[in-house]
Amino acid sequence: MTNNAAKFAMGVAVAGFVAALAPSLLHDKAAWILFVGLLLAAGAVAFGVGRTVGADLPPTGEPGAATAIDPADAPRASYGPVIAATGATVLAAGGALGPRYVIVGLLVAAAGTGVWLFDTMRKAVDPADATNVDHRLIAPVALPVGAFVLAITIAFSFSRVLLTVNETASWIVAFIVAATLLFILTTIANRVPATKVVAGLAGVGLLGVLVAGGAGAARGERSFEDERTQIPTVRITAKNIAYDRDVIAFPADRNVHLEFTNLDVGTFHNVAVYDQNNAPVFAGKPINHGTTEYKIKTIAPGTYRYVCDFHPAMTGEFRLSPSSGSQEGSNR
Amino acid sequence: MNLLNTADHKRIGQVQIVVSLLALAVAGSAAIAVRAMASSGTVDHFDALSSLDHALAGVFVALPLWFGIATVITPLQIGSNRLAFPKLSVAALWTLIGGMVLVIAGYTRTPSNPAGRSVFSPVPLPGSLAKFADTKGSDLMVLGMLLGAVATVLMAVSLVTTIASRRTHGLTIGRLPYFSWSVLVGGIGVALATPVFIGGLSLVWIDQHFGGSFFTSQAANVFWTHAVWLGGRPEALLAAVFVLGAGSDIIATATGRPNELDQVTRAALAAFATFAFVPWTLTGDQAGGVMAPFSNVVTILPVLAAGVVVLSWLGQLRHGVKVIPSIVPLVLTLALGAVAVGDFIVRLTADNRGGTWTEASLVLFALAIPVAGAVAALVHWAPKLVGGTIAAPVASLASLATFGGFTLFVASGVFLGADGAPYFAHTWDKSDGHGALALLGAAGVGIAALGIVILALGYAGARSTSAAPNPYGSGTTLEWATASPPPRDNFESVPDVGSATPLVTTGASS
Amino acid sequence: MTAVAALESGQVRTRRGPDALTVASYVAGGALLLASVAMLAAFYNLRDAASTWPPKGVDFDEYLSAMLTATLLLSGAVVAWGASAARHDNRRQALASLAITAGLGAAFLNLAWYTGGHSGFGPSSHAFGAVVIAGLVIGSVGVAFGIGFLVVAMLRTQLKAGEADFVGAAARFWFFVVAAWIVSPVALYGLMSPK
Repeated sequence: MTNNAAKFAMGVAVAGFVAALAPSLLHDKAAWILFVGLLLAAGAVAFGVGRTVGADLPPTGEPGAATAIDPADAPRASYGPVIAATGATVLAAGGALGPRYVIVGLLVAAAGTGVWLFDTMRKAVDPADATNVDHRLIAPVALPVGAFVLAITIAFSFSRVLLTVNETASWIVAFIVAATLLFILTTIANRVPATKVVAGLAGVGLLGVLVAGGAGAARGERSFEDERTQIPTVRITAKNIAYDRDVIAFPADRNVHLEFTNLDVGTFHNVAVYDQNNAPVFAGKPINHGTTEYKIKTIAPGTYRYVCDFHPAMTGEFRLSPSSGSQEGSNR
Repeated sequence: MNLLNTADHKRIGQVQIVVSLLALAVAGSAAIAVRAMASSGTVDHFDALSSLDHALAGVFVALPLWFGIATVITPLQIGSNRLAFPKLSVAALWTLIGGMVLVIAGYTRTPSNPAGRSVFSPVPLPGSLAKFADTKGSDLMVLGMLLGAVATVLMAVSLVTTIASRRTHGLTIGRLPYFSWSVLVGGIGVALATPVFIGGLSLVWIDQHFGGSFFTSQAANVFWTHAVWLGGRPEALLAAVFVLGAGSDIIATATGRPNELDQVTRAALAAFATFAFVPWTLTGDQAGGVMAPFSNVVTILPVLAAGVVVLSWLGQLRHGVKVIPSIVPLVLTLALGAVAVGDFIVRLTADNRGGTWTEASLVLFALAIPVAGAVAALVHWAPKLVGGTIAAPVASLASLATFGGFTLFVASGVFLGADGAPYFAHTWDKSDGHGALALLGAAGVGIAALGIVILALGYAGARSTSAAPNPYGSGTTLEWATASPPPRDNFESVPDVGSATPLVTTGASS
Repeated sequence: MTAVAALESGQVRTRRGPDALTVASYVAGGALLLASVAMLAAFYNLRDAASTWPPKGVDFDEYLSAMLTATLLLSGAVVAWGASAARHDNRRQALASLAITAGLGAAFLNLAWYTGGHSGFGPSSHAFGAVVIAGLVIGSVGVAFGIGFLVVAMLRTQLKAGEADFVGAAARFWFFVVAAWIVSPVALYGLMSPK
């Protein structure tokens, strides 16, 4: 049960196997692994194509016979793919431009995939099943998904409010919301009829939560000072192609922050840390103005050198002491 | 039908052909700009320009162009009214376009003077990746290429699936037209090879965007060679599989009779697609220096396989051949192949010299031959693409310009490299006549572009006419059984297939 | 004979080619597998060139990578049950097992996110960090696509009887997702002897 396509894929797998055996690849582990991977993947394709296409389906053809094309077999047009591809593009752009694009791209791609699925499925459903699409689709799929989205929205808005107001107020807000939820759930449990008044109250409440959440998100979180000060932070400034300090000292073996300000507007500077062998330990993203915060992950104790990658003359000592000593830095 | 929502494989493929030729035009303009400026000693925005050139030429031209042709032609060749997953192909097409948009947007955002060429040199320049001041531009370029690569894999999956599952009655895989067979084997090859590139690009992006240090370590040069550099990837050779497949169909049409060496041709096409993976055997010994593509002994294997295919063509020609318009373009593509083999032999015996030679060899294999072959295919299948035939003189002129232009371009790179000229850079030493050689390369790109323009004019003329279903009178496969251009459903009814040359056995070609 | 005439005379022969979805799931699965292999190649390349392994300062938690692998192996077993149920036209069981598989996939994504956040290094820390994070990302993208495929299979099974081919293809793609994870650098990290 095999066919030429499966034989080809098997040939690729064998070629990968032979190449992986070649002695010249023994010192190039990357190529070796790629060929072993080719053996596995091409082998899988050979197995799959061999089994699916079998001994060369469709097997029969009768002299003089012909197959009519069924016009109903024509593929249906859909805007889904182009929307999904646009979403994928925006998503990829997010890798360069920031998380907002990622979120928008994901949403657009999901919408496009939805349209695509809808267009593919809408005529493919059996008539017997189509009669109760509501029961099959809305009840088991749309209701849970809708409830999930609603819950996430409320939880997000609510958390924004809690993060924005001060601690006492957040306790009060949480209590009020909990009481309200209790009231709503009790009402539902007691099967109070969904009059316009009840529905209106619920709508106004939901709108209130959303507006408050939006306002909270716009205003930003309150500061959590006590958490911030636990990460040692040193400030360093570049001005006239020079740093304002020549020693940066940190406790070792923990995450530290370096707040870097570049006052040479238009000239790129950064702070990069190298070890004794000039191997890079940390490379800060360069800026040509303003302030940035470098989050430096755990570095082993020792004395290092910090330097601006653009101006090798801008350099200093980067000390990491093993004890959990306090931050220090000698200003010039 | 609406361009944005069409599910008709003919429209999808046509748009894709145009889009990949547009990518070629932009890449060619960048290549001309670099060489023209280099001849004066200074290249403004060198990094951005060369990255644009290489990103577009390396990802968005050869494979998408051939997959575009295949999207139109293979369903006709296998007697199908549609692709198996037309919407997948549409998504792939628009993802490809999105990737192109990102690359071009990246070009406009690349600072004038970042720390080095980052994307297409054989080895990453140490320190060139992690420390860009503003990585947005180069990030967009890398992510654009990543999207293009993903789109290429999706196209391959769609075409392979279509050929595997939508053949008409009696059309076993062993009876597939040669082009469809090459799309099947080449598509499987692309689906297995390109993900490695996607993985490599992901690492490039991580290094650039987060200031990582994978590619700045010396060890990673080897991985760069395998996963990112075009000359170290199977894709450099895979587009040539489609050239050989289409060429076999052109020869079959020109002879109009069954191929006595049918099994040999098929096996050699499959062998070429298999041996396309030999670039992975370039073990990166020269990491840190300039590495040549196809520079080891195993590279002989794909050359041998291609040689067998060409010999099988010659074997058919002894029965006499009808000069159809696509013959001259095919012969000129073969001539480019001969130039490439000559270059390969000199490479095997010569020391590595300048980087421009490396680039010229790579462009010859990975771009010039696929594009020249695509000219032949576009001439051959013009009746199925737009309805009319391209006149033989127009086809010959177009392919002659393409051939001549690419030859000039490659000669410029080879002579510059052999003379020890440095690779193009911001400031470039134009002494020793190097400036004139750089201009020669620019002129070559311009002449090749002229060839594509002539072909486009030929197409404009062919649009208004409507040829016979089998305009060359000697087509042997199913695409010649339907009208030119094909109706919406391609066929009213598809004859059962009893051999590899159904139109010969059913007598429809007479 | 024209198509209409053929249709009217009942002479249309239905095109019974092999299932396109099955072929597509094998080819796309092979592609996914090689993307993961590429990451492993980068990772092993790094180890090959390093003088010490794991690099200084790296304290990577093998427990998490083992849990990630175990989660996916379990999901592979569950999805096999789903494919079998769909073949026997048991919609309820097929739906339940696909949902459990997708849930395990979501658990994997969550755990992968946690692993990335608690590894003690980031993509910019060192080459090791860059490859580990890239391996996690590619593994997670595969799982995300697999979940998407499963959700579509669930929808189709929900809406229409006899979608066993679709469920089978989704299950097969999921096997490739599992295989791609097993050959990824994070999963195989524990097998690379220190030096």
